[in-house]
Amino acid sequence: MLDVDADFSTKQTILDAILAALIAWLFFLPITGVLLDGYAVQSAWHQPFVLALIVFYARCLIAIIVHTDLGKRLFVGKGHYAGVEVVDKTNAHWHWLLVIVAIGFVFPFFSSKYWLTVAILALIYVLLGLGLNVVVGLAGLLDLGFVAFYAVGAYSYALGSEYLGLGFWTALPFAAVLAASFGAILGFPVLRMHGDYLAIVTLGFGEIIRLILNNWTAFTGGPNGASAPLPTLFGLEFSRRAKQGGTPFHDYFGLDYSTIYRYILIYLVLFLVVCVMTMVVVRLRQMPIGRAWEALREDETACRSLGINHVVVKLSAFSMGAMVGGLAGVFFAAYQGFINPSSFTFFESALILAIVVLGGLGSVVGVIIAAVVLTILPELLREFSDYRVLIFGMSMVLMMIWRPRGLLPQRRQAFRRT
Amino acid sequence: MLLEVKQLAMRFGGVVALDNVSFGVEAHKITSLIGPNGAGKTTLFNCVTGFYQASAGEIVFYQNNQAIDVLELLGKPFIWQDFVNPRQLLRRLFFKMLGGSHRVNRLGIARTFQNIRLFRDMTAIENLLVAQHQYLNRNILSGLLHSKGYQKSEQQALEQAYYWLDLSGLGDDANKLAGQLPYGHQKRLEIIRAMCTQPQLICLDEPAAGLNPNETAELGEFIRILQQQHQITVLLIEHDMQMVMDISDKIVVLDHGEVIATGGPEAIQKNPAVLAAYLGEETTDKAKAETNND
Repeated sequence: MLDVDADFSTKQTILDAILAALIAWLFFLPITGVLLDGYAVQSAWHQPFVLALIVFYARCLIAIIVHTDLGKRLFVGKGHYAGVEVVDKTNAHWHWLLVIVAIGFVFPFFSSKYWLTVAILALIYVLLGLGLNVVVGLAGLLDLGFVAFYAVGAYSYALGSEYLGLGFWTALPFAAVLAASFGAILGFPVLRMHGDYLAIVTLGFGEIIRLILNNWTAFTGGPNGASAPLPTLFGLEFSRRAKQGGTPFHDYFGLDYSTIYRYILIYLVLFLVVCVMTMVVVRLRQMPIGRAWEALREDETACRSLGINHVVVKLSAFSMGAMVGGLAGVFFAAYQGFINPSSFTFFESALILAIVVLGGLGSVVGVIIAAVVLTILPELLREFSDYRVLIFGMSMVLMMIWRPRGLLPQRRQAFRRT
Repeated sequence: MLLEVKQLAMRFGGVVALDNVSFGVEAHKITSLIGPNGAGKTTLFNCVTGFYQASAGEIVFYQNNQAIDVLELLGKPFIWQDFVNPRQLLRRLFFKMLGGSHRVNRLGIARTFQNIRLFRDMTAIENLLVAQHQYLNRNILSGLLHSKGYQKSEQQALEQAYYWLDLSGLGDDANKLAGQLPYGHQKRLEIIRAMCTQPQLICLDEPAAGLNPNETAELGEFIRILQQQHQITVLLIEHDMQMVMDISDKIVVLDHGEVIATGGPEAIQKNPAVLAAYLGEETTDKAKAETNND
């Protein structure tokens, strides 16, 4: 193995490299060593050798790099890198923040429809990341079924409009409340669980919700899904022809019909919600409830010994996270116009969890960056679509080596005497 | 009398950890609990602070001339009389749903742990703020909007936290991560964190374990300050006999889950049953009978 602290030894390096090359040769022999040619099998014995040679040189190179100054910083860094830093509260960055928010608000008016939809998706994942960050990052409750609340939000809009006649604007608070109550419902049975057990139960909960949506055909439409209506703005509709005497948006303003207007509306509302939610989560962290969440993550027994009711704290974390997830679901349904259970699989949960872990558990800015990167990167890599998951996996491994506690270190506010 | 333990028993399956334990803790005094390893001291602590549900017996806490049943707060199992007395049933249901060890703390019994249980990734001062949770303005809306009342309550909590930090000599560590403080400081931080819950009784589980003689002496001094200047009652488990004998007003000796002696430091030092338990001598029935008559 890589022994970073030991001195450089040529003999050891070459032995390690030979071993690695041998393993690579054995590994590649059955994969690239034989070629299928019609019904015959040809041997291509030189290919595994070439690959093994590459591994040999790469292994030598790594062993040398590790002992240079640069390598030491890269590989040894994690020992000195605490992952948490205490900083004084400063407003030094607030004008940058203003610029970013301003750009965010003007962006849809200059963007193409394609990039607008990508941006909407990115913001939806930012929202999901913020929600799961409360549950996993702050309260330390590993939740593998977060997609359930996303589904609850999306379906409460689609089915709410079908059965209750809810519009987009009423669906937002409705979905938030409904998802929060689902969060509390999930919270009750898992109150006594920790770590792995909790993860398994939440995983089960996520699957249960998906299976109910899939199989309760009479109510949810099953695999055929449910359609979600387009949002309206003060009664103005975004379809080409308005239903029942309404006015379409483009007619009212005398514009040509284009589907981009509806995406602009969704984007602007979503951006506003993301901004508000970011502020709420940042503030919550500094409030008694946020501190109690973090204390619960650190040590539940100690929390109880300090008079903190861990039941209330856990349930509030689950509900808060679920509420944000539910909001994201409404935007997803409005943006897609149609939802079905295949959008809410375990892979989605894993992706959201990856966003939170990559961003740094508990770091709001890190989660936002990770969400944006993880949704925009696959779009940029469309040409390499075969290698997308590979690159994704590799970046995860590299992150775990260099920044095991997330992209950005967690920052804690310092409290000075007054 | 602040706390009274009556005929307490704790069984884990077939293992009897505590059997018929009775003693009292006087208000504003330091009571020490000593005994050889495995005598049941920490089990007793966990019962008193509500982390274990005692199998039998009573723990009574006296507050404003009112006797409060500590075990009831944890949610006792139903008994048949409940079903003819609806009020009692409701009370029991309430504590079964919402009871727990956190209620024991809110009653005024705080504790520390044998193996330090700080919030390691939070700063020292945040540890103290968490401890003041119940006294803060926890309204979500006023917190989100930074209302006047909320700011005032946070400010007071901060002042309180700095007061304790200064008192214990940790003023410079306020904004350091609790997990990165030196061991002795962590021990002290845990004590003042318990103090921040504004208790009447503080239970310290081996506070001097792992400290050098100097630090132990300082700690003894600090516990004295708590008792004398802050009118706190202290219940202490400790193996450091020097410290126990120096600061205790009363000592309770446990062995094999039973109380074998109770009394002041001098009496305990001469007690034959205690000497037998610590030095491994044959315990004569006579010596046992004598101590029980005390």
